Amino acid sequence: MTAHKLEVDDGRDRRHRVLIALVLWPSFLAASVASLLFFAAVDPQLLRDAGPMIFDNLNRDAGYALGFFFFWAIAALASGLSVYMIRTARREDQSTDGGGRRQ
Amino acid sequence: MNTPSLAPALPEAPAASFYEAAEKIYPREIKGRFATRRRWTVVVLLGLFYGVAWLRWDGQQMLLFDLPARKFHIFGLTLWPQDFVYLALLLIMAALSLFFFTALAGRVFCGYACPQTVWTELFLWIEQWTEGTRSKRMKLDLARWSVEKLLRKSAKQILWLSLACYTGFTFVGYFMPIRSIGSELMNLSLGPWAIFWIFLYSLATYGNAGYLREQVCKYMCPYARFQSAMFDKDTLVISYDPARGEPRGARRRGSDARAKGLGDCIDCTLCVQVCPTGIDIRKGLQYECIACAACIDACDEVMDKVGYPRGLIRYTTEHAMAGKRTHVARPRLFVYGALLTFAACTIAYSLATRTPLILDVIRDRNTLYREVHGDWIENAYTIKIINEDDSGHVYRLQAQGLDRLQLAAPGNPIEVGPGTVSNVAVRLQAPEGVAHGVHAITLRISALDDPKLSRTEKTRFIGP
Repeated sequence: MTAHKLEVDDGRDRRHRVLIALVLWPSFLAASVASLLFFAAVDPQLLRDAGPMIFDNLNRDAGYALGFFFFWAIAALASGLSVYMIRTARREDQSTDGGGRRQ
Repeated sequence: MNTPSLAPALPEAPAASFYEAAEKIYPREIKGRFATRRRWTVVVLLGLFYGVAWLRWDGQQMLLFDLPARKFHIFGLTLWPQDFVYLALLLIMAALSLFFFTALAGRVFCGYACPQTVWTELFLWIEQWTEGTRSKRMKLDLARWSVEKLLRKSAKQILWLSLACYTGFTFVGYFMPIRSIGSELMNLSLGPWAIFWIFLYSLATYGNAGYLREQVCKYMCPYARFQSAMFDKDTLVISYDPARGEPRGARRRGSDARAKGLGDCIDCTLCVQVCPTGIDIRKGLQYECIACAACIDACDEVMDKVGYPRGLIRYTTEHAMAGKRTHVARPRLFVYGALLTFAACTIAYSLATRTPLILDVIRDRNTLYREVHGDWIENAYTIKIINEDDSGHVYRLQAQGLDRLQLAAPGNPIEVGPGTVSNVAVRLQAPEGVAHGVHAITLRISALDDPKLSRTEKTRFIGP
């Protein structure tokens, strides 16, 4: 249903909503889970000591935040790619009205 | 007949469309059995949220997931990242409870306990208090800007914003000690990350409860989409009784609706007006329905007024609607219940038998072994003792598993303070005659003052 609706009507408002509801929000949830699991096992302070010098001034709080935003960005990339693939796919049920329509 | 079905909304239902310019919903204020119940749940849950953060237990914050210190305090119990399994089990239990109650009673969580519902309700109270009833709010939004409109709107915004900020602060107070961030906030010495998280959660509260509201349930909530997998025909749902209500229509008071061929629904649309997600329950069960039961309260009141029996919209099951028996005890519930009980017992058992002591043994990776005193073989290890207890202990370290195995550890027995980690370099030595090959050995620490407080770890001793 979602994929079909994505083809109907266009507009900036709609694109913003797709961005928030289908890309940023699910990736936020995924990033929360990833941070929880990752930081349960790994102390950001140890990462700092092992990592490059630019991290030397960061404390643990900053480590959590950076980690979270890193996971969020990666998950958003995956969600964004999924949305992009769905939007640009040739649709079987539209082949009758002038072949696979592309956006 | 329009039997309730769990299929996502009918094609003509605008609510299912993602791209419709979301029309603002003005839920009508409602009184009744379920509204009272919901109000009390909101009061209790919010009271717990805002209150528990300040409670203390054994000189510690009662519930604190202290991320900066990487320690969790739960009712006087201190858990470490190594105890993550308990947190995982708790989360599994929460998920199983959700499955269990969903199968039993439908979306009670959505309608009563979900933070989205609870804070939306609170923000709605403020809205009703500052801007008035549904019709007043609609008029106010349409009206031109005036002093009254400005005052009402800014009063609402001030209350919303302060509440949102306090909520953000309280939320962060479960992850950083709330008393210290509280006093730091007063002294304006709060760290940048604490400010950032408080700001982020305040913004989320303000946006979600003030503006997004039902759109979170409709477009963003994964649970709303997969809850139907836990539903069956015996699950409690809120449903309109079309057999009794249809054909719907307005009628004069006291006129004989039956003679005119009308059902019990007088088409007053109150059930639609009170709905926080803006659906028409008479179109059948839709995934936008958060089971808040506001439409039941509204319809019951109308039925009382026109003198018809209550329950045209009611809690029922698909089986009951089809005139069949509802089975409360069914395999699905037993399975969820059994899993839940199992998880609870596992947590209880492992917490009861938990030893607040962890021993980690790491073999020196640089050299396999070296020869000392001519004919002895030595292996080096680093051991990490984590004393999770709230008091300090002195531990004796012992090694076993090889003939004449000798332990060279500086300062054995080792003292480790409360809630601290101690790294100790340890060397094990064995005569060359017995040390050939690889041997499994055990290292054991035990507290001098409490023999039950002990841990044993396996490692290897490698000889030529």
